[in-house]
Amino acid sequence: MRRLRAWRHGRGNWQQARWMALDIETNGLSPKEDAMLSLAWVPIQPPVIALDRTGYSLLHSDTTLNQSATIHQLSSSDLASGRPLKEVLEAFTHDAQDHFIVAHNVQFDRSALQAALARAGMRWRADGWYCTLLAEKKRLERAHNVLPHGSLTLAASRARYGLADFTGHHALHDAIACAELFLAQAYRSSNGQSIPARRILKDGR
Amino acid sequence: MTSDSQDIRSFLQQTPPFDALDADTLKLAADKMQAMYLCQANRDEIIRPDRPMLFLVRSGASDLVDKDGQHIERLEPGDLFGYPSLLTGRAITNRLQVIADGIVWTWSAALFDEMRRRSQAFERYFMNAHGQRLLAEKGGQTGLDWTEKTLDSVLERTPVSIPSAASIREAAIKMSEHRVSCLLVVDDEQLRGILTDRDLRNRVVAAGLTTDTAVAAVMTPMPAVVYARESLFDALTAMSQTNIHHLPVLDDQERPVGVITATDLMHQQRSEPVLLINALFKARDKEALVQEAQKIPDYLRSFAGRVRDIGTIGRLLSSLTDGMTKKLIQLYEQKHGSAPCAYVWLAFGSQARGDQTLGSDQDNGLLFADEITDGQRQWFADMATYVCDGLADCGIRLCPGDIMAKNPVWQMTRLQWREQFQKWVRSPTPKNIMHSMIFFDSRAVAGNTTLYRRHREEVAKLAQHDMFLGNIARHIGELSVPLGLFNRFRTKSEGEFEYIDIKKQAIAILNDIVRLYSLSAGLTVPATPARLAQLRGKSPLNDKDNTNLLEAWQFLTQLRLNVQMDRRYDGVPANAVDPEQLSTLQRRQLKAAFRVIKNAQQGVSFKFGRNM
Repeated sequence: MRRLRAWRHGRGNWQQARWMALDIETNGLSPKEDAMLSLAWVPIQPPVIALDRTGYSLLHSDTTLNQSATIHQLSSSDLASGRPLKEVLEAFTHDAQDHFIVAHNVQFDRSALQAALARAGMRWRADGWYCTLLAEKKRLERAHNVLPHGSLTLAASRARYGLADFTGHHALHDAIACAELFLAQAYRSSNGQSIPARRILKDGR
Repeated sequence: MTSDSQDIRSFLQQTPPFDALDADTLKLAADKMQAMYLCQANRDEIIRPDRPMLFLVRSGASDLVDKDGQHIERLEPGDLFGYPSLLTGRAITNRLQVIADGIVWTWSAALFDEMRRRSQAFERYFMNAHGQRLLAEKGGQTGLDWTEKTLDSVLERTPVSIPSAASIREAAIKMSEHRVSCLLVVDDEQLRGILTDRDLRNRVVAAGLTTDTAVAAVMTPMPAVVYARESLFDALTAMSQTNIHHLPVLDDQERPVGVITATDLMHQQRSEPVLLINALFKARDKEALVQEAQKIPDYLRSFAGRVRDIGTIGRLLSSLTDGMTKKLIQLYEQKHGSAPCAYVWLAFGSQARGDQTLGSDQDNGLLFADEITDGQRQWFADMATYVCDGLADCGIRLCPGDIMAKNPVWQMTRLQWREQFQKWVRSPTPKNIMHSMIFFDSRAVAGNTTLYRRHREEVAKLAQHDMFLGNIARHIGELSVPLGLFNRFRTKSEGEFEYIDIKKQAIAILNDIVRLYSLSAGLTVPATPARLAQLRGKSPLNDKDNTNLLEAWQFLTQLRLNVQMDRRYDGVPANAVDPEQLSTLQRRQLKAAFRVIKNAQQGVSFKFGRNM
């Protein structure tokens, strides 16, 4: 039943579809092993980014922070006051029910999310995934043969669409930035036409 | 669930008027807003007539255009739009032309109201958008300011008219049938004159005429008129300039479409200017006039807080000065008999242009018919002394350069003025150019308008002289706009105080540039916006530069008035603006205005300098 609903969701107009940008900060580069430190999500109803319904949580953790702390700027005391993993994941899966999930580097966020869900003993599936990084890579590869190093970061991708600078590596900022990039890509791809969501999803897969 | 984004807050904190919100309200603004991706394909989903919102540009750029596609303003990051509909409750009619896709932040009408309720500064920012030119739509489209309404929007009924051959008796019957106090006298759809109930009293009954006499004999022929597309303010100005209370309104084909009366203007909400002008006119003697005139600065401060287009203030001040001048002349005539020959009281400079400020001094002169006698000259000399000193008592200070009607040098016949202008045009030394420019901005305040028109047309012809124009261009090229290397302000310092003289270093140069174009085109109107309007579509000034000059002029004159109204202490030069005291947005706009002037400066040396 759920799969059938997701299939129907994909056949509808992309602007009427339910999209949700997601960003996860972890304590390292290995999504499966390193602990999730913060999680942010931002609903997208094209052309609206519902900043009034975003979610952002620090996760409770007593793991020692490693080198990644210099990037995400979270401190041990921040994390000590964070919320329990299960509670945060329940809030997220509730808001993100029946949504297509949008992330910059889906491979990472998806693995991190799945590892965290497994740790919390939960099961959850998105209606589909859209990767703004992959979409950008495909688009650029059509134009160039070799992509210069660093041209696919969130900031570099956004700059190509004239989107404003943002303070990166804060889960909420990254999720909003990713939502904006998604709309830029999707509006460019749909070119003012009403096309099904699955066509957009295909760009980011 | 909402969350706190530092990025959003810090952008809002740098963006007026959000920078004026307290922490709680700023949090509300940040928590409850939404973002939208704006591109050409979805612009109509975003601005919907049925859903007014406040929009803030976060990235990208668009042009706001009205329903006829007329450009209103360029919207860039930090710019706001959508609030006129929120404030007036009128449907959105403007559209966007998206130049670069980007993100706009939005707030619902309810949130906008809540923020306005919580913060006076926020409320004031939108109500008094006058200081923020980029936020203000041109041409009074928002309807916030009653004086900017067009006449056709307030005319309630078709005019009651009568042919000129009809009898006075028929006219009186028609007036009482229609319960009107005046009739338009119309033949073949053309306005011939106006007949008021006062005319019936004074020119018929008191004069003992029979009621069989034709209307044509007692009407006021060729009365002053206004046009339906003009604003209430224009009607107000015309009424105060002519001291009449009924103005026929014509359409663009010169057909009468109605009558606007002083009472109509009073019925419009904020009628204080009418009351003030009436009070000036009703003054019985000079003392009473001076007493009324002293109320003007306070009155203007409160009026300025309510009008959207503070440019109105400059026109209002000029028109009040006109009114005081006429009243003083009238008072003088009551004691010493009427003027012994045809003359014109000339206003020069800012009074003529209609951009007078509270600090402006007098610039005036007298023009006589050529056949004036020495004895008649003496009458005018005495009258001019009385009027100039009277104006000074009313708060319009004497001219330090002595360009005043009471100075015998500026009391001349038409021939003498022509010789004077010829001298300036034929020997355009830098000193002559500098000295003469003010005289090319002139207007007749009182006296014989035909005499003035002949004089003004002569002057316009004289000025179309290549070498003269070339020298003006060179003079303009030597003036320095206070924008230095790397786009930084160049301020003057005086003791502790660093400032820009916004009149000398910007507005005057801009007026010089526009004057040069209008001299070359042979125009006779003095006001800078009116000159630009007449120059539209005419080479060598292209329409884009024309629009830029107009916008820069509006912004600069508004900023100057704002700064003057807000001035808390004396001892600062009247036109000084300290860039440090301005908001980020205003600083950016000021730089943009300076750049417009700089470009136009180069433009005139290129276009007119070559003729040398």
